[in-house]
Amino acid sequence: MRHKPGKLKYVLAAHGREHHEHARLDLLQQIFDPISRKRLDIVRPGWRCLEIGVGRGSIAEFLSERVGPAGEVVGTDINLGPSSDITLQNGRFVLHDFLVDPLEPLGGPGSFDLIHTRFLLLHMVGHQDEAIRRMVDLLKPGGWLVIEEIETLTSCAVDPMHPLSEAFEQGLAHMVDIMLASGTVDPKPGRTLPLRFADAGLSHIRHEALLPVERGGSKLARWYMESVDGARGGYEDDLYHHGGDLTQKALSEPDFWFQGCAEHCAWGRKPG
Amino acid sequence: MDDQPIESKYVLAAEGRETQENARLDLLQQIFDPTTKKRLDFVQPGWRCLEAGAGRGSIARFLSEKAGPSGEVIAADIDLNPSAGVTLSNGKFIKHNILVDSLAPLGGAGSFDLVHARFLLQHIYDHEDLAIQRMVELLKPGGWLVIEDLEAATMGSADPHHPLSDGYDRVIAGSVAAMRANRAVDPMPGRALPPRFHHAGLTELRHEAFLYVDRGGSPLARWYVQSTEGSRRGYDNEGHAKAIDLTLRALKDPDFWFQSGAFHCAWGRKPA
Repeated sequence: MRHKPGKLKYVLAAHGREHHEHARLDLLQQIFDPISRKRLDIVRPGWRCLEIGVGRGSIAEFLSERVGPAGEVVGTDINLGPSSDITLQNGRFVLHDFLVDPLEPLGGPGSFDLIHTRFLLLHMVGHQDEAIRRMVDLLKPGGWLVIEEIETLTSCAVDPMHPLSEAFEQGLAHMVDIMLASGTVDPKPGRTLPLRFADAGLSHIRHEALLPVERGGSKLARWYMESVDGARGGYEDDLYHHGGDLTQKALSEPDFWFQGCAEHCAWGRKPG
Repeated sequence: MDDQPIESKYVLAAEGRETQENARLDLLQQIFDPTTKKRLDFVQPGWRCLEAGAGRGSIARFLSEKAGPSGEVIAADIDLNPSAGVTLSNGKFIKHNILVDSLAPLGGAGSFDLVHARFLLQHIYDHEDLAIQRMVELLKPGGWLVIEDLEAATMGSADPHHPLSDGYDRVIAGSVAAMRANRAVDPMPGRALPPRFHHAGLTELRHEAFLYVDRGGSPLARWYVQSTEGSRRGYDNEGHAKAIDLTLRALKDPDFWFQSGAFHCAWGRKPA
């Protein structure tokens, strides 16, 4: 089913729970920034970079350091509240809804050496190819597109004998069902990236995906719990909340081992 | 469960199809050796190393180079024909089943600085903990256990629009269930490694896992085709012929994108 971009619903909107959402985004940065930075190691001084969906802004800051005074960084988000403490020496934050708003305020077509997004496409069910097309449009010939996504679908319990394993997987299945039925979150946005990049005409396509195995109470487990809680306002169906409760119980138990979301990244280059 | 009687159910036995099996193992080495070598990069000169399940022997050779003239490498397998052409300047190949044979011919308890096994545990379903226990017994205090395994549960299509995708996903789900039922191959040996290492009393646990997204006809796809064909005689008679045909057709089609099994690795150290 195709939704009008204007109807897209962001289930993790901060409004009314700003304090919790900032804490969740801070934890996200703590967990994922080291790997994102490695993946963005290709960025060179003087580049013009776009970070779409900046959140708390740590990756925009990192890009800003990498490109130096001769470069420029534009960071966009539909909510600039979380990044309001940060200033970029050589760039700015722009309030911008990527699928809907005009591209000119960002610099217009062919103006970026690099575009990066993290955990953005999963919120654009039905419009992922369109988003990628717009990003490619914004790239200079030879410019790089780097997209990172996580997939709920690979999450599962590790030890079938653990008393909480069955409930955990049942809870996850409930949540995935609701994600699919409501069309709000794509449970597998990562594995389709290489194909989407190829269809968008990109070259030098590369892909990797990491799969964590951890125990309840770990940083990653806490971030999953905060994310499940954060999205509760986005779902009315009791099944989501019931599923959320089942997963929370397991994720807070240190004897419970789980496999987490796969952490995908794809790189591609606009032909130059 | 380790109280099950131990019987060999190795579905990829080479007997009667030696040429194809050697080609399959060569392709395995070509695809997975670069990652395995990085994971074993910490091996030091002078170490005594055991490679359990040596296959065509490339990793035994790599360990032999790393350990140098003052070290030693023992390479064990239930079938030494695939490694018949390989000699180690500082070691030897031994026909040995880690589950049932005496550990004395390998050097006995407490004799190795490193024990490594790749794609071995998946073939000893229900006896994984026993194998790990015997490997730990073989380690010196402070010695390292490194186990890599590939699991089937993350396999799936990566293009929602390809005509074979739905069928492929159904076949994967069906074969994971069948693997659980006939207990010949463990469909998820990788994710369970960290808790198994933990329960075996190992310390300094570390884990990583990679997923690959690739298209039909790639080396990885060809390896899956060869592995499916190699184990086919174990499954055909169960009425799976049509499902196997569909899988093979998809994996040979360059327009078909798929996600691989997860390539897990766990490291753990025997307390000194």
